[in-house]
Amino acid sequence: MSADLEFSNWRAEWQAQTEVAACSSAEVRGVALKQQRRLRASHVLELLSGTLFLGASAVFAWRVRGVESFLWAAVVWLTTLIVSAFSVWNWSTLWQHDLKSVAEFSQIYEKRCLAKIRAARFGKWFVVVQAMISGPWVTWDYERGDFSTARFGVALLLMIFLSIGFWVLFSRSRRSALRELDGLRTIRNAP
Amino acid sequence: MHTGREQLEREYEQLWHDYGASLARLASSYELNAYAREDLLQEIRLAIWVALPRFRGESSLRTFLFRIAHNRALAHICRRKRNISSEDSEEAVDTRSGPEAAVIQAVNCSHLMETIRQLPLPFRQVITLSLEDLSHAEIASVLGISENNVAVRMNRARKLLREKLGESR
Repeated sequence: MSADLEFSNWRAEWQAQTEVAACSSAEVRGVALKQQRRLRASHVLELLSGTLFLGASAVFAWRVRGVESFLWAAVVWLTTLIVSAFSVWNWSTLWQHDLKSVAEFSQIYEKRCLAKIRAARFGKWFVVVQAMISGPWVTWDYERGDFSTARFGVALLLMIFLSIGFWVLFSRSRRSALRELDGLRTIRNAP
Repeated sequence: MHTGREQLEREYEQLWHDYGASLARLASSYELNAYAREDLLQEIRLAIWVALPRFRGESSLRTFLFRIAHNRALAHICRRKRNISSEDSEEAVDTRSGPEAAVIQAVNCSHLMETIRQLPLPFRQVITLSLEDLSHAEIASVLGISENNVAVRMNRARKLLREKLGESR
């Protein structure tokens, strides 16, 4: 059998599989709208929480008016700005890639995985730095008598709980990004 | 606005009518498991819906669709957890009935499909696109490689497919 005939036979066999489940555009539109709303809500939530942090710390510093409160507000502003700047830098140019060719998409996909890994690493270090700032600060407040033992205990427990929670979250995100990257590289390096 | 949406919906349904089978075959070449395949197809449907308003006719509609579909499929298999070893038994536990099951069974019946699925992805991509009647230039545009590279991959893919089909028959 000639190579062309052989390929024609394969093509006929391949294209004989013509059945496909029906697709309703209304249903797809509904799912797309839901996704869009979820994405928009998460952006709004992010923006609100950032504004809340910055606003609350500014109000606190304004009302209490002391070196410590200004220092605390400065730490909150600085860390929020660092996180925002990192986020913008880390994710810029990595959106809207479905229309690219598979080769370009695969490069962008790899960059996205690397960005996720960087974000997770940054997040883990950020948790450590936050704990190193908040822990001694709360302890210092307690030693000075600003906090009762019960309040100090709750604050410390909350801090430990949140730190562990975020650490686990970032570790999971890193593992998942590493798995995706590994999968992509395995596919790419196939003969 | 309302008319625009209706027009988009009509275009989308027409597009699915024309290319739905091709896209379903593409999904089948990536996913053996019926549920995962349906998930992938749903991702492709969604990605095409989102991208369709951005289609400006710079490339052919087929190239546009296959790019999106292959990109979604690539992301899908990279995200998939490593449970490939359980795939062999997965078809047996697929208990769906009705037209959907019939479709799935029809796809699975194809020996050619099974064999193509065993090819390394770069070969699978070129051969499935070629089986969908895309020219070498179109395949090059979908995959982002040169036409020479497409030709080289095609030769190797056909040789490998022939060997594998020969082994199993």
